[in-house]
Amino acid sequence: MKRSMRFFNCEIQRSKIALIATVILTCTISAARQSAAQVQARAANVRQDVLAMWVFNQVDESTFKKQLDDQAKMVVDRIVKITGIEESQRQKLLLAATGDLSRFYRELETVREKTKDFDIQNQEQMQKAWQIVSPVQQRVSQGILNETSLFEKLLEAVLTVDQRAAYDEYLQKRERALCTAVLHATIADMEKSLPLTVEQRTKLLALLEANPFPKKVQNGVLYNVGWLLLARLDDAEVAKILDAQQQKAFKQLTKQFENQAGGLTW
Amino acid sequence: MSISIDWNRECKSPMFLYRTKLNYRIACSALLIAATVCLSASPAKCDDEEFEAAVAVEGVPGPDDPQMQILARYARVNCALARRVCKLSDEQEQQLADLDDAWLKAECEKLLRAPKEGAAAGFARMFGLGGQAPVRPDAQPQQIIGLVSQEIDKRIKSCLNIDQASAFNDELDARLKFRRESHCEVIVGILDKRLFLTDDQRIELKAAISGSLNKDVAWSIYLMNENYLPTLSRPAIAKVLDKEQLAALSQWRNADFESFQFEQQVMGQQEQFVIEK
Repeated sequence: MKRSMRFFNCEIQRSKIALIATVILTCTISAARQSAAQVQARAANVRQDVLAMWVFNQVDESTFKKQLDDQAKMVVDRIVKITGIEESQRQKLLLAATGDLSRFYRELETVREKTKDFDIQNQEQMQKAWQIVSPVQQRVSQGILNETSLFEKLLEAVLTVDQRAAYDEYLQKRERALCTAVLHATIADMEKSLPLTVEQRTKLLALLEANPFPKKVQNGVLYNVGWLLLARLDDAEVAKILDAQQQKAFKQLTKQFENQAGGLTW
Repeated sequence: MSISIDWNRECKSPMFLYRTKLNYRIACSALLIAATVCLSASPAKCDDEEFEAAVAVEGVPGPDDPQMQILARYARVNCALARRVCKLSDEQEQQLADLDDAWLKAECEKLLRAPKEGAAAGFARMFGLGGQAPVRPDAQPQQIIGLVSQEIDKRIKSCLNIDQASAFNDELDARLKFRRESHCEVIVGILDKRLFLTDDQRIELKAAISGSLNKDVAWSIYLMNENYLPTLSRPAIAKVLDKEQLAALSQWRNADFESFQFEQQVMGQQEQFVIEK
């Protein structure tokens, strides 16, 4: 009797295991099918929507919008830390940022409406689509809260003189750090054609540091700012650092950037 | 009526053990057959002249090839650096003058047939590739440029005395360090525009990302399109940035653009100015 009961219990255990295994297997297959269907649906959406392809940075629209919202909040919080503005000022800035983002989201909808019938397989149509999409893509790349934004205008009005001075000081320091970085990278590139000794490099950097840096550089010319600064150096000063062969190469390399000042605010 | 199996008994049964051993033997045999197939499928040894010639013709860049232009520029610039770091004798100048296009071509050919070293070479030899496996079939152009550039520096150093070679080496190291640091500064600057870094964060971030940027980064590409960043070590960055800044990092896409790709396109399309001597 005992033996038969043990056998019976074992059978029940095995049946349970088999049942659980079947359930797990069914769930797995169903989940896999579901996720495959989701992936296909998502892929189909991405294929149809040029905004998803060129603007949303490989995330879905809601994530993209959340990223922009979070970024705006972060900018406001950083300004609070830099300038020490009060809560009422902070709220005004947040409101302005929300306004700019809402305006941008409406622009996205307009672009979507204009491009909704474009066929992604058609190269000609995609070129037209790019012309419509690229302005919003560039806005995302350069930041929604840029110089032309409501946020920036309100910032001008909201900050007190001292707060403005603190904020300007921060921005100039940041701009200077970026310009210096680009200048260093440009000199490093220049050394692929014109070798400098450590001593010469140090002197050249000191000479550049002694010269004025632009207060503001437009994004479009930022990568050239190093060459623009090098081209502005006085020949006589350069001659004190470089030998004749080096000067000749330096002149050739910087010639095309001479007398160019577009995009720079001094 | 159900059929039950006593697994304990089955596992210990001679039949089960036999089957296990059999499976093991089958697996071993399969491995052996696979190894034999690999051996037979591997290329013939490089004593085959036709094969070697084909590799040489295919692999070595011609004089107008952008790769050769990059190498020629590297050689000229580094010879010019050696002249400025050391006071060279006429004999040393003559030795440096031998570092011309013909030498570069010969060096490329030599490297393309150089034996591979280390464990990979051991496996290659085991599978019939011998010690003469050409680098080219699996080598990227930037790898070839990197290898030949090393040979150029070795050659220049061989023309110098010990003190001169040491001074030249120091200059090369300082130049590379400056270049790498400048790339880190640019990447920090790009991050700064959106993340509003503090002064301390700028310094700490530069140090944190220096470990991730081992390649020669095409920094200007990242400035032209600020949606991209090179792949950076997130744990290193996480130590420097706060929670909000870290979350904002997800706005960038990772893409590793190397200056080599950029230079290769520019070579031959734009006039290149290089120091004469």
